[in-house]
Amino acid sequence: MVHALQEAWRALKSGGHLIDMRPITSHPPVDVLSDGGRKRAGRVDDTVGKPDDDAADEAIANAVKFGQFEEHETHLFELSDYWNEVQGMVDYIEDRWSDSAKLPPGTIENANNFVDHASGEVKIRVTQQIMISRYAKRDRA
Amino acid sequence: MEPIRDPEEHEIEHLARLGEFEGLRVLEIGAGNGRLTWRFASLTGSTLGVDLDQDRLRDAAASQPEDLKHKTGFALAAAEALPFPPGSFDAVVLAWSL
Repeated sequence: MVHALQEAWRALKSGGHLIDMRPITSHPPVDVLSDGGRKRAGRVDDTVGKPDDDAADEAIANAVKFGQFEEHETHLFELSDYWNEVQGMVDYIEDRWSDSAKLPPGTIENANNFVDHASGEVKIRVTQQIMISRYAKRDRA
Repeated sequence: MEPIRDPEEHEIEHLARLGEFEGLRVLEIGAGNGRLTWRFASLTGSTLGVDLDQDRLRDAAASQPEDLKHKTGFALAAAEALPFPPGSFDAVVLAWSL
């Protein structure tokens, strides 16, 4: 991470800026949406990824501390993923998020139960908290 | 199964607002299959995406929209050893890459 930030700094022109956008550990809720409204099936356990979150935070904090970048602003926003089937969500999280998150069996069971008793079109939604920050490149003395 | 990601368009709303990409030469580190690239590249002067995963870069090239071909490209490169001279870009995007 440190080397990637150093390279980003080097590749930027004087006065350029860096955008860092990534999910933060937030126990993303899993909801089943249907004609009956929203039912909360549980949450994704993303604590597995927290050490990586912390390492990324430390890397960027050091880059700021050592004068490579200056933080201009940071925002949080929600980003939702939608599936038509519970198994689609399960497979995706196992395939793509295995390094950072896992689905508790109880959450999967709840989601399936809600889908089984739902009416109308059904969607399964997972909502992450995303942090986006802008940093200005500082020219080192 | 690939989800439908962010139909609310929160991601591009925030990226566009903070990025202020108009007319800029942008480097996206960790571009992967181009999913995010296609969302913001039209806002930039030009966008180059780099990644170490050749298969995902191949997917990105295959999904390149016709109207963005003149201002987007992809390259196989490591974030820790970018093959560009200093000061090559106006902005760098690290999305899910740090």
